[in-house]
Amino acid sequence: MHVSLSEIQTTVCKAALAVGVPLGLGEDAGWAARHMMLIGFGSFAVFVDALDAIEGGRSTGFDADRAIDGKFGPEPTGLLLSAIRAGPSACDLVTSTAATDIKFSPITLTAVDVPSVILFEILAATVGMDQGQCVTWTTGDRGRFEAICWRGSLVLIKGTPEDLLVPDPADITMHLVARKPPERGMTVNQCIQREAVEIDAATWHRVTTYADRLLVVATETSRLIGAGAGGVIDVD
Amino acid sequence: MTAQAAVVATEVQLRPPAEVMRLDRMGASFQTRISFTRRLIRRMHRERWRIERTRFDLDDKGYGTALYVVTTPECCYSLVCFSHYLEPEQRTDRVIAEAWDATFSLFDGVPTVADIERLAEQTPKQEAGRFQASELVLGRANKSLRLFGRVVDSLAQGNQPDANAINAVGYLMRSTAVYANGKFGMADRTRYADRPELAPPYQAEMLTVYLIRGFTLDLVEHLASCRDPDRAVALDRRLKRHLGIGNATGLGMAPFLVSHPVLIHNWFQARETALAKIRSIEVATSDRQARFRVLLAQTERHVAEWSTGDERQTARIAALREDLRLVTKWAAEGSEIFHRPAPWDALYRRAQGAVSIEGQELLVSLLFEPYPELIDELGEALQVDHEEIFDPSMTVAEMCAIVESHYSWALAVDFADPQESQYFWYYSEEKIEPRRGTRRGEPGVEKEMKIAVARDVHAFRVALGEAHGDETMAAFLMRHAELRHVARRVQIGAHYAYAEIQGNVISESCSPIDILRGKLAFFGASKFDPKSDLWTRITMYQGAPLDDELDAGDADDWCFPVKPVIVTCTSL
Repeated sequence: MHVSLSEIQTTVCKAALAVGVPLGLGEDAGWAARHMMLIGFGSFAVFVDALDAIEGGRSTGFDADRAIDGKFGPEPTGLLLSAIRAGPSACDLVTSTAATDIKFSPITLTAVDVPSVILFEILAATVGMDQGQCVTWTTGDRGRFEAICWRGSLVLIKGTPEDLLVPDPADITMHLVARKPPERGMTVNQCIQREAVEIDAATWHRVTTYADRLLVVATETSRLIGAGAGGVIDVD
Repeated sequence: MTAQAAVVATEVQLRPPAEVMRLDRMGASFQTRISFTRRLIRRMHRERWRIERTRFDLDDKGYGTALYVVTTPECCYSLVCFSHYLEPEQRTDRVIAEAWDATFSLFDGVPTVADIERLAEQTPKQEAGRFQASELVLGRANKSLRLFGRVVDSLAQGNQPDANAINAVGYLMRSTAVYANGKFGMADRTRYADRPELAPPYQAEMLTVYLIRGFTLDLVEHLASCRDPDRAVALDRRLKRHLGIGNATGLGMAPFLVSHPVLIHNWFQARETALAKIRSIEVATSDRQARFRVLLAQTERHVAEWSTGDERQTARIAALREDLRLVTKWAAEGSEIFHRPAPWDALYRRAQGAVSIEGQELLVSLLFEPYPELIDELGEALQVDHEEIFDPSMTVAEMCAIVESHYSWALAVDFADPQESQYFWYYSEEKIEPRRGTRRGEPGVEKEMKIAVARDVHAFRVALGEAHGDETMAAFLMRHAELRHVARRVQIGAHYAYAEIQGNVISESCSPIDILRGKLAFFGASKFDPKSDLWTRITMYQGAPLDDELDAGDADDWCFPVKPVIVTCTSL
């Protein structure tokens, strides 16, 4: 079905809120989903997978004390690390490193539930940055995936777009890139796709089902006075 | 005659956000030259837009399909109109409505027959329909039962309708929702934001509403003609112009403004910049003074003709009439105020100390009118064309300083007082209608919309106080992810002075209608007619040129319109 970028952004944000993610992280997830669809790359289903992982209790947040040192791991251990919960803080850490000139080793995220969500979180975060971010992970038989996000554009260094569809968890490494990446590999710029975004109806239903949990049951009181319009039927 | 150039000498500062962004002042706003409807009409006039009714397949009851094609220098847009029978028990202005007298889609280009057939299926469903990127705006409207039938009756009998009745209502139909920016699969704003005619905010929506107004005028004449082809007359042009298009607006606008801080900053900054420019003018030349006085006199009549059933607004209108008498006296020809330097500043300052807030804001609007060359360009850059970047390297100490300096209004709220968190805002499962409930007593608090900025800033300040001052936001937010949206917002507030509505929207003392009016004034609304403190009716485009008058004369002479004096008959 045809869905607008605005719908994607707001629905992912609401769905994240509905599964218990704080608003600020939900906003970042919404932006990331929008950017992914904007460049016409990847699959919207990965965001729903990431929401499912939180909802199903398979994914969790991280230990902040270790994360401050650049090592994001699931807390409690034994679960997967939620990309939606960890991605924004990992991006923050990389960005603040650039600004404060504190030298960090590459940031690592262990056992990330849906790696490609992190990639698109980074992509959205780099739109206004003077520097880029490089992200790598290894999944199953497909080997190493490496991409550079540079001011909202994506350059694939290793791997293929199909790697982004693999739902397997992975360990991720991120680090700053100070120079614009060379025009080798596949480059996907912003604004390639602005017209139609097609999402299969079943996937869209999954995410809207989450978002709809934020709706409040109607009562006679709320119907009559909650909106402040007076009587329901107009005669003038 | 060419107007004498304005000499700007002194430098008057912009009014501070603590004054401008207060709810009571927002709730006293009026349309100005930079309002979106004014801006659109000016462009239509300047660029000689052409509007043609290319299809009008309505039966003798007025039901069917109509098509209006707008040709601009670069693009075409079409309003596809569907007119329906509406059961009386389904007639409501509320979002929860399921059927309407008329539904509309603004199409990007000229629709094919297949497009119109598809829209005939989807548009009448409104929120339940699905649309494509070729559709820019979706809307609906209901007839005014007070006026619509009465106008048809008069015209069918060969008479013009009573100008008083037309003035009392101001419109034939009232729109009850206008959607755009990707809703229900329609085009995202990014699709058309780089087109000059649609780049400023809400231009697609304002165009739609303008075209709907034209449709309503055609509809009454069509019905009158069908009823009695021999006797029916056309609606007098002056009465047509005095008919705008109504709108009923509820709570949805308030969360929108809260969640678009940069956008509202741009609007208010432009208006305040405009005011500062006018107040800085060294000498008010005689021609500008004359223009101001003419408009002031017209506005006195406009306000005298403005009536509402709302007691609070009625009292405010009464005060406004007194205010205008005072301003008229101060601004009389030969008045000492015009012998001083910066006379408009002097006039404004005098009003500040002597008239109501509504009177002051009306004066602000009037002061802009004689100076189009200083003001109108400010209406060209009200949109937001970039995303705000969060700076995670900012330290806790720096963030504390911003909160203290820019959010003192929020920190001043005493949330230990239950009245300050009396309400919560939510979306109802009934068609996602925005509603406000009482926190202690109504279900759904756990699903509250996150729009209580003052409360969030309080929590943020407390958490910041417990952190090390040199800690970065990146580190702080790892432990306080629940405050991430507040940190982002506060950084925006530091850069955009008018980004925040400086009031507590969950307080028992908050009247959301103040927020609504603030936004509607930027749209160009007039004749505010509150139905409660959560809901208002308004009129748009009253007095605006008709579609065949866009290239004639002064297309920008219609602010604060007054009732025409008529009575002629014209055969259809």
